[in-house]
Amino acid sequence: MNRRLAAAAMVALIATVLIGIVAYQPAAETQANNGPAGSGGSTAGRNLALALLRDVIEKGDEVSFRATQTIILWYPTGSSACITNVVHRAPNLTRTEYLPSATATSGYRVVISDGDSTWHYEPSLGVVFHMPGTAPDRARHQKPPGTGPGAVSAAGGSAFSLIERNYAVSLVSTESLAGRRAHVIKLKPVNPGNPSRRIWVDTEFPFILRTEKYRPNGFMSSLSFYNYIEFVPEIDDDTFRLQVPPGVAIVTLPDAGGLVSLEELQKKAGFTVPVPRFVPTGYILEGGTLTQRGDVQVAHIRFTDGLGTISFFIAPPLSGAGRRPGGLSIADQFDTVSLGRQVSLDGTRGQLADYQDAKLLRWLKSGYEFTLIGEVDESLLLQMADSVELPQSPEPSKDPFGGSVIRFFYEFFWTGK
Amino acid sequence: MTCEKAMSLMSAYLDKELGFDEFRQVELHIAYCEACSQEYESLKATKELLGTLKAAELPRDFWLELRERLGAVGAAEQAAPAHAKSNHSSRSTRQSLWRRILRPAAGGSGARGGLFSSPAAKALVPAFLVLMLAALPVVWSAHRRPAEAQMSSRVDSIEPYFRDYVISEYDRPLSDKTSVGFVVTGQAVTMYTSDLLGPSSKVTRAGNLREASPPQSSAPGNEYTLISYPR
Repeated sequence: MNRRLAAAAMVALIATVLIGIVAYQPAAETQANNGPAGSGGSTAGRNLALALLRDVIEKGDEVSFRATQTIILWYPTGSSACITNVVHRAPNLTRTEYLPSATATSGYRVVISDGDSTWHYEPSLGVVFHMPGTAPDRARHQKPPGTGPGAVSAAGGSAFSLIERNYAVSLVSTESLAGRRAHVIKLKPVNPGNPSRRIWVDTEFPFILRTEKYRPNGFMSSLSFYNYIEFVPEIDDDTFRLQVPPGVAIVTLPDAGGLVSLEELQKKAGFTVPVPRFVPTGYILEGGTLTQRGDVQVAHIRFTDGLGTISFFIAPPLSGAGRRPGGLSIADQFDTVSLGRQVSLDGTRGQLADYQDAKLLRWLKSGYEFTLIGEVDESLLLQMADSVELPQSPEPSKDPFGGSVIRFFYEFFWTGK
Repeated sequence: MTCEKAMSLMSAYLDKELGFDEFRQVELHIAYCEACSQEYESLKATKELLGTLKAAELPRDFWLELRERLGAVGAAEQAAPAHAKSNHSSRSTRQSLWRRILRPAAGGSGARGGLFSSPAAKALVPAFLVLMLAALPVVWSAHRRPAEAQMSSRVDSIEPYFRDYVISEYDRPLSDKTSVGFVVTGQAVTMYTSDLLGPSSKVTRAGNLREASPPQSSAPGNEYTLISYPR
């Protein structure tokens, strides 16, 4: 009997030990995944996440590397993906080869950037696109928006302080990725209607290994991650030479130039630039530029909350017979690409469409053509559109009769059928 | 261009009934979209197959028989009962306002209770007609204006706007530059193949590249970004 009791006790003991081991295992794993003890949602974790973000913003380009990266973009109308070979030599030289794949919408493509310009060779077209002012300029990120040339400093603060203010930053876990360890940081918008994201920051270098972007409705809009990465101090010059066959066309695209203040933009534009009274909470006016569309200059005003952008384009009232002189001859792609749906605005109607991962709202009023683009919730774009202040003196009517008389005759003839 | 739009234009594209711009856009879309490309090939094959079919021979007396049947239908309508006519007159009461006003006056009888049955009212009709004719150009102009406004809005495509928007992503500190570059370079290709780059884009040839673009950057520490041929 005693022997039986001893055996039962032994079995119970073994079972307890086994249960303990099994129960302990996930706890140990969770501890490992959470990185520094207690960092998850704590103040210490937040502070660490913010410090990592600051390092990435300020020193991200100081890391030289060779890597293979995968990009996947999801649109409401489809998706696109490609694999790239990226080589970066600090601080400003980058070579990116976009490789063709079944889901990519393009063939092989080489892009070289010197921190100021981008040179993009498209072998399938036999064209090199020279794009001034389209390369990432890390130096700008470190300046407060208000200190740039003419930029508005009303709400002020650097990109980092805007992110700190508009996003709840937290350290989620620590994971392995591409043979490296990374802190997973979540950036959740404080203000509703904005996208959120998660980034994986290398534990050794101030470098983002993976980015996940989510739409305001929670769906993922893009994912990019490194399959392989090697941090190397030396990369030879030849890597950043682009060799092309003879006869390739070099197409230099116009540079919009740097951002200027709203006042300066008004002066340069030569027409009154209407602005919205309402801007989504957390966004500040970053500045504006003038871009050429045919013979017409279009004003572009940018708003940012640190991570996202809202672009507001203003095309001036038309001259002469109602067509923009020398305008682009192609039919409106708004009609042919994605008409979207009609929406009611203050006294007029607009078209709201999904375009890639952004929302696009376009409307005509008092001769102006307005376009708003952003990744924010459409309700915010509609509120902005409704709040656009138009100049006080619209063009006087040239009709000899009042609108009501015209409407009477019009209805008399055409709608009485 | 969306797949849905491309599909809707596919038949017209095959028959070369599209305008130049739409034709180019469908062409571009098919080149890049595998699903639409397959649909295009399938539709093309179907059309080619239909084109090989011989037209069916009609029976010799087909047209004669058709004419006789049509004649019979016409005769039956002539002999239709009176209630059909009353239906017709009730339809006429739903005619437009100006027809209702003018018909009695022009007919001159006024016996059917038209609005212009009195002599004074009849006298007003010519004056009213003159006024309306004078206003016609104005009305026409008002009728045309919305269409013109719509046309003007079509001149600028959304592609250049979207490109400017995406480029601003380069300025965001945590954005993935490779992803942004993927979209920006894709936009450049789309705009180039759709003739959307406009006259402000400067085009040179690689042979003249050293003159066409400044390969040396003045920024300190920035050794070069050079397109070189021959090296």
